[in-house]
Amino acid sequence: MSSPAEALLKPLRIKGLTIRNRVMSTSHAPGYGVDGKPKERYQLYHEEKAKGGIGLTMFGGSSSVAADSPAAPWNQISVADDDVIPYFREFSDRVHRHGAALMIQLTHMGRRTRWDTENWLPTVSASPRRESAHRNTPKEMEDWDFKRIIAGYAAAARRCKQGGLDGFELSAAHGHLIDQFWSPSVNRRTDGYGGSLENRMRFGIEVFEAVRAEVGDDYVVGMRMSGDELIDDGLTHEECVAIARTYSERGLVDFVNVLGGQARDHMAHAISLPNMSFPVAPFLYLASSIKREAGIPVFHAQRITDLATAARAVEEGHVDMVAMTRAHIADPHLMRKLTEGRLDDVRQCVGAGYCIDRIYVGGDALCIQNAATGREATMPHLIPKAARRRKVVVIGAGPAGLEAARVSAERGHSVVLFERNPAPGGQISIAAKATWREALTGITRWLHQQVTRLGVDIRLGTEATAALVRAEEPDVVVVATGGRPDRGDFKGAELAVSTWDILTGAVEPTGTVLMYDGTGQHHAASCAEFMAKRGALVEVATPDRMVAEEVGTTNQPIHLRELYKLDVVMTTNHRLTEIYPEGNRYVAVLRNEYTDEEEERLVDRIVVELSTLPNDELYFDLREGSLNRGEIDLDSLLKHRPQPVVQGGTNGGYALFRIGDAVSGRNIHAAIYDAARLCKDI
Amino acid sequence: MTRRRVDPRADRAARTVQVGNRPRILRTPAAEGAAGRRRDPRAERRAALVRSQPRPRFDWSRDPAAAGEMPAGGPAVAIREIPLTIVAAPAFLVLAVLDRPAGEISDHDRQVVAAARVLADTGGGGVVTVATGPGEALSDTGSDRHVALPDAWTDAYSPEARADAVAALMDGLKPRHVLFPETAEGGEVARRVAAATGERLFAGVQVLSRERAARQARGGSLEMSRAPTRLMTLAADAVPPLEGVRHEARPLELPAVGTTPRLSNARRLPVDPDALPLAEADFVLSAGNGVTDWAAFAELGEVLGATRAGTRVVCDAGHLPRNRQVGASGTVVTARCYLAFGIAGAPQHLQGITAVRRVIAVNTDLHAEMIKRADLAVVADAQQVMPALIRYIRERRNA
Repeated sequence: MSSPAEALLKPLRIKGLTIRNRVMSTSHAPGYGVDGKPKERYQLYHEEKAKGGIGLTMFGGSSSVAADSPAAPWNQISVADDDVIPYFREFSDRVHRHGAALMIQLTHMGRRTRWDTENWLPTVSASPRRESAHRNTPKEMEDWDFKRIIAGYAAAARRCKQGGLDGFELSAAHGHLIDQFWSPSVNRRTDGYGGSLENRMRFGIEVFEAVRAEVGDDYVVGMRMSGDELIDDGLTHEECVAIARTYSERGLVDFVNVLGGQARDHMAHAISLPNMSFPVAPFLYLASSIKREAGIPVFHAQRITDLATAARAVEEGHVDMVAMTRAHIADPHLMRKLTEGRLDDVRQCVGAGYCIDRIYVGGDALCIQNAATGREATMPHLIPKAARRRKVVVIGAGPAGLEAARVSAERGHSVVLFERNPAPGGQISIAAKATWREALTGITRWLHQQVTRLGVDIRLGTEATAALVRAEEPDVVVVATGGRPDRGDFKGAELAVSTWDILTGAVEPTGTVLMYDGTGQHHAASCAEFMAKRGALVEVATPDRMVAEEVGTTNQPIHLRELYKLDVVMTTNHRLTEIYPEGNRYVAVLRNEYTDEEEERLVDRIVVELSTLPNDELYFDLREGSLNRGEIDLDSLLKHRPQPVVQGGTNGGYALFRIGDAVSGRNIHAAIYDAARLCKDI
Repeated sequence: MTRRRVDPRADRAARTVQVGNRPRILRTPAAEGAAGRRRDPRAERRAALVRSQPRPRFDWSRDPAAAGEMPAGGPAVAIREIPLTIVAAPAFLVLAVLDRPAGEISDHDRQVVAAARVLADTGGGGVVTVATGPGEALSDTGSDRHVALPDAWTDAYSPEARADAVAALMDGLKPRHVLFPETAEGGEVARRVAAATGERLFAGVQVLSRERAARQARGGSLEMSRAPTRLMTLAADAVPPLEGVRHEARPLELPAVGTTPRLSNARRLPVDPDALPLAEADFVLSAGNGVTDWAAFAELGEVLGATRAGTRVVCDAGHLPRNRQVGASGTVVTARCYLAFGIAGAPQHLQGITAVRRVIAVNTDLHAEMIKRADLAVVADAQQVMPALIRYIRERRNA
């Protein structure tokens, strides 16, 4: 293949709009909205992509057109009244300044929302068929519902145009109202809106006609749709092709944005937002097939994480625009790096799904590896040089230490990085041993490559001591020594092994194994999968209500699917309270969380996951001699000001800071944010 | 100890009394069982399994005493043989003239036979494959009849002879359509046949049905479409190859053709395998994290005449240039053989070799994904296998 630049750096013209290249970000809902408006945080997040060279950035996933499709409860955008227009103007000016195009997604969610939020209105749909993911049974739409909802779409469309946006798409994907009408799995109507495909298409056509009448023929109007619902009673691929062709032939839409699947249950949701267990671009074939028939530009997103795959998608003629949405969350400057020929500097999305998983539990979208994304007001994507060059010593080359070294080196400091192990990576290297979690290595691979490029003095295989650190005469010491498995303090805890012992290969799992999940995170579930794939008969027990309870909605279904496939027994609501040996086997005592009744398991091996305890010996060795006794001034940290101890010189002494799991066992994002937030002001 | 320990099976046994031929479970144990609460959820589930076909059925009230009578694996599933399709008296014939490069049926060849079937099937026609080598191997591609071209043509550059043979077959068999793969070789034969017979050729068909053949023109801005012509070449990956079919591939005689070829291949030019674009290499030797002996790796590439490549980690570390990276985020390879040393098989890497026909993997980890993908797996250290292979090849050459 030729260079990705050749295929991707071609403009695309849609009506009067010229998009400068073939890479875009699809509308999504990062949870940055305030009072239903895209205010500063939301705008800065997209402006960064525009600065970074993206062709088209689309915001406002599922932006609402009506009161019974609430947006504000999830910090999303409501386009249901004129108050939003000034924000659109500000937003479009901001993005246009950098040469990118800006669009929004408008929708009515129909039954794919909740009734118990801001407006307390019942949900509506084509037919009163229950939607399990949002736990509601909608009202069947009446004639006056059609009238008001269609008018709502049209008014919202006008607001987009008045706000200076380059266009919008209406969502008819993921089971929103328009595709609820299309899909025979929801639409059971017997009037003119149900039955034949022609009838099922009618509501959507009426919406698009009203919208088109409002904004005129010159304005860019698109449609997001599924290329195949991938369920027995849903839309087939042939029906989806027919829909795309019909809407395009009638001049209703100027582009279609195609995805695969739908999202009406947990597994479907995980499939439609494919995580690292999926191959890249798993549903490109659906977009490609629609492109053959639709006769209008086709956009497509779904796990296109690297520029080589993106370029193939365009070059081979499958799509016109490649959406690299999560790829831009990981690196908003992706396209600038492509044009500058710095492909190796791209921080590639690893598909952890951390960003999406947070928003579906009401949080804000944050990147597992890029602490600046969504925090543009306070965290720079390009680290500015420090006024004073300092000597920084970092101990530990896990995610926290690598990020501390990277940011410090970008600041222009002279950095020494100690790592006890022969290779960098820390706990990520262990976690990545567990089957599909392999892609996590991308996080530390990039960090390692960056610190190497920046000339950090990396001392692998060297265990730092207080003497060794002091010998460097540092101004600043950052301790990022990570943690070690917490083995618990129940009776007989010493008889268990940890997930680390299994994943590093120190203990070979054989026979029957009880995996105790004390954190509800990826650790136990992925370790159980690893052991089962090696032939062990595994049972996972947890005090939670389900295995992997804390894992988000795009990852948890994959864990459960794999564990079920491998015939892993899952025992919930039981706490491990004791282990004792019997012969050369072990007995685990499990206590029911609710009745306190105890039961036992006789097994060959017991593995426990209880998070980590800090490796803090070196920190305490260095603490007494430091200028600040290791204190991080929280007020300065939260206000993004330099730590008081490093303001001015350190006069031969050193400031000491402790970050990541060396403080307390948390997660990858916490480790990286700890590092970046502190070091950017040093 | 205040805790009771129970083994549900022992517990059940303790509560079981024999009444006539049938066991009966009492609500309270007949005699007090072992104190405890020990459970084996897997055994409980096994005991509740009433049957496993067509899908497992569990009955939690099931009497475990009877559980032993269930055959553990359920009834064996018979492997069904694909029925043979015979077109005894074809209404008309469609010729599929195949490349069969180096004697192997290519994917494109299979697609040409499938396209011929599209034209033949609705009207009761028959598909005649024309290629070097015997017809048996073409049975599962959908061939009703097979004309074997002389074996001597397998490796020789013989477009004139092939064109003459096809023209003679057109004369004798009067086929309704003749299809060729749109490749360097098949495309040339097709054009020679068109010139010799005066038939017009519709080249590079991308969409084919019995009524319509279509292709894109003018850089994809235009679609040309018409009724299928007598002579057509088929673009690659336009028609999916057939699966789960078995046809006769009954041999037909090739009429004698007296050709005096004016063209032939004199000699093959040596090619530096490492100078080939990776996407075009036919034999790829690839290294992963498990390779540390780079001298041996280079030497092995040389003695095998294979194109060297590697994983992302290997290219990141600078052992090979970036344009040698195999995978979705690097180059997607189409080699016929991929020899992988020390590669674990990350999903993005495996995605780069989906089109590879044969994968040979050498890895120390039996559970590596690459071992699962491989047609031939060697569970050993790359550093031991590479010199052994070099020695073996040298010995064989010198012998």
